[in-house]
Amino acid sequence: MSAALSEAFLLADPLTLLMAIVLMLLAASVVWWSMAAGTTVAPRASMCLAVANALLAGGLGTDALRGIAPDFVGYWGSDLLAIGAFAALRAGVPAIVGEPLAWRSALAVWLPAVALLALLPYEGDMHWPVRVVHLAMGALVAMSCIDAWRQLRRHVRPALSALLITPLFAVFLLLATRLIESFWQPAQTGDVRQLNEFNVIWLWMTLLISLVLNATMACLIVMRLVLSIHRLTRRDPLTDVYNRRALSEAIATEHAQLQRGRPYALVMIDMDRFKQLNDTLGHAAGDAALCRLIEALKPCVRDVDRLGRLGGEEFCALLPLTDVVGGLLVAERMRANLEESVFVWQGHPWPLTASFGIAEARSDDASADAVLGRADRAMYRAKAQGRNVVQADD
Amino acid sequence: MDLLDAPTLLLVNAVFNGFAAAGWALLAGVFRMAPRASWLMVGAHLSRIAQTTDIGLTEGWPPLAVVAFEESCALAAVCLLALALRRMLRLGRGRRHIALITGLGLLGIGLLFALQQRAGIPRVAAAAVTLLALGAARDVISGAGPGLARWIVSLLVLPYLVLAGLGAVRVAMPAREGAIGAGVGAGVGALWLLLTMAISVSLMALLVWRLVGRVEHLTRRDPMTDTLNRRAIADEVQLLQARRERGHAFALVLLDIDHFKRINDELGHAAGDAALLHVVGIVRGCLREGDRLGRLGGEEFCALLPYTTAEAAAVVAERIRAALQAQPLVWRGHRVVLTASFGVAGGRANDAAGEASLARADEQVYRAKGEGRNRVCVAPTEAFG
Repeated sequence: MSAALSEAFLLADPLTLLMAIVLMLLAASVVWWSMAAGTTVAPRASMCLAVANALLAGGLGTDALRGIAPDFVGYWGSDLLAIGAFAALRAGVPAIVGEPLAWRSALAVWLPAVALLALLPYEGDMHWPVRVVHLAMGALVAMSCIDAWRQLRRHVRPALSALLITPLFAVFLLLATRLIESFWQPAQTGDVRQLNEFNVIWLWMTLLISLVLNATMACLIVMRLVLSIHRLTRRDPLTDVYNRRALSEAIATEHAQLQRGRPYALVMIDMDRFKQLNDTLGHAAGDAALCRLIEALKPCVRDVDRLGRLGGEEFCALLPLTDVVGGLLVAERMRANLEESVFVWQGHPWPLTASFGIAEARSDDASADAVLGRADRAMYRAKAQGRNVVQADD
Repeated sequence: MDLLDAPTLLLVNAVFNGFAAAGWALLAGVFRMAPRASWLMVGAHLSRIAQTTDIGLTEGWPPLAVVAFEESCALAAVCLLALALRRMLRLGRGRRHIALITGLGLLGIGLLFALQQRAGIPRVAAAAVTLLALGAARDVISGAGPGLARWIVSLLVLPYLVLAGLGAVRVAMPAREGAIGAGVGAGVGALWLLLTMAISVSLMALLVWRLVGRVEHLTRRDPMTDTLNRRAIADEVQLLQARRERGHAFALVLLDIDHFKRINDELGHAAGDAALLHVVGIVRGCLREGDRLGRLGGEEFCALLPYTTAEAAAVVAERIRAALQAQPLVWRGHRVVLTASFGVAGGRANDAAGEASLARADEQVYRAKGEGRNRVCVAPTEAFG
């Protein structure tokens, strides 16, 4: 059965296959274009992909005209469009995460390649044009691949990044193989309309590559959306620290480890005279002050610590493997850091201070709420002692 | 159409279906996105492969059985597609219709197979496919929602209408032998390829669009109370202000819960949260459909009333105030009477971003607080315009 199947694949009519690919690319182009125009999903990246699909369709279409149309169109024009498609793809990759289009590096490959191809004669054995075309395409895919890897690594596990990057890498390998092959195999690119095994395999490969590239780009965009949803549900939009839900989860997880001999401490942080600041300088000033507060607190926490906003001007730091003495040190550093920081709003300087309450988890604490309550009470004692003070639960 | 080769098109179709099935499986398995709809799509693509591709599955079968098998697969594919579409659009009802049509279709095919009526089988299948496709087209129109531009909805509907059209043609003249794929002209083959692509890809786009909707919702919502957050309120006020410049009035009602800090301190944060939700519930009940409610931060909320003057908004605010006072919060046996101070301001012309309206309403909240809380204060309306 498999022999019959592979024979069926090899006996495919090249022209029909070509038309089907062009049709598919044009459809993909329309979909990307409507994504760009009708929704707000990475519009620039979608537009680049619409252009890339259309260019590739054009490249294949003009390729089929070799021998009918002037060589200028069928050979050079076709290669120009095909490399252009990969250049558009490369330019669009950074835009998936909202970075500027990489059109400079895309042009830096496309222009020399096109200029070189204009100089090379398209006759006799086609070694050199084939090499230039595949080198350019390979370079562009490699750049996209490296770019996508860098972006992914910032946000997701290496395994998932590798999985998402694999298709791009496979396409790169394919193009590189074709380049290397041209050094020891006679060039076979001729008339795509001819029914020969090479042409048919080449067309199937093209079909697969276009499907894979489109699917990978769609996957990257989906990944970005999933990540931003994850982030939005766990982060406080103003200060970008953990929100209340995420912090509560983290504290509950830490509390579950308490019985296994992992102590932890909580530092409750409440900005002093925040209401007064809001009323005097306005809500916008209050927001800016909160951001300034976080800037001052962040250098004091380790990578394993979690800083979160409980609401309003109230924050909490979770310090794993820390006792009350360690918590005191951290809180004192935070307090001093904040006191030294300067906050000026539209020319009005405003001294920023906060009150800190520390509590250590005890083995008889039924839940994390008990620890939070003690930290909260310590913090209120700090407030009562005149603010800008660190108090530990006793 | 002898330019194109039908078997080749069928192969491309099969390759695409296989690829799309893998793509949907990836969405369901790795991204855990709309898993049920995605697995339904995997099924739809696989049955299309079984139907159109001569992979030796039906080798040695009698021709009648082949026809029955292929038509059943085609029907199953469209049925699964229709079900996936419903899930994707989050439409609850109507699944029974799809099951009924498919069941009747399969029953008809079985019956005709038993009666050795070969010519009737494609007709029955095509009739069922037509009905399912029409239903799917209706689902897209009713389920797309107002967020999608009309031309995108038309693009989304088009493939289902073409599918229904193709089915109708086959009901009318089932002259061709074999299933939809095998043995028909290459033109129809190309059309099928395009249809398959259009449907699958548009569904993926729909899924992405739904994700985007969720991101937007999350960026505009206050997670605690599920009202608009401050950024979203600022956007909405700006929009209302733009309408104000064209002559449509609007008003803002700001409210600040009285002695909220006391609830937090005496009964704990959980009680504070419950109080906020209680207030939001009551305020929502007093607002009309087009009104929006948002949380400015802490215990401060803002209701946006389009096409409303400050006087009318003051009536709404008074109604909310009375409702709040009448319905105390019950928290673990504690009865807490919640009140709020209200500031009402109408939108004025020539107020660039509408921030001035918010500030004026804010001033009135402070006046209300100063005058003893639990009252409504209205900003003076402008003398002109």
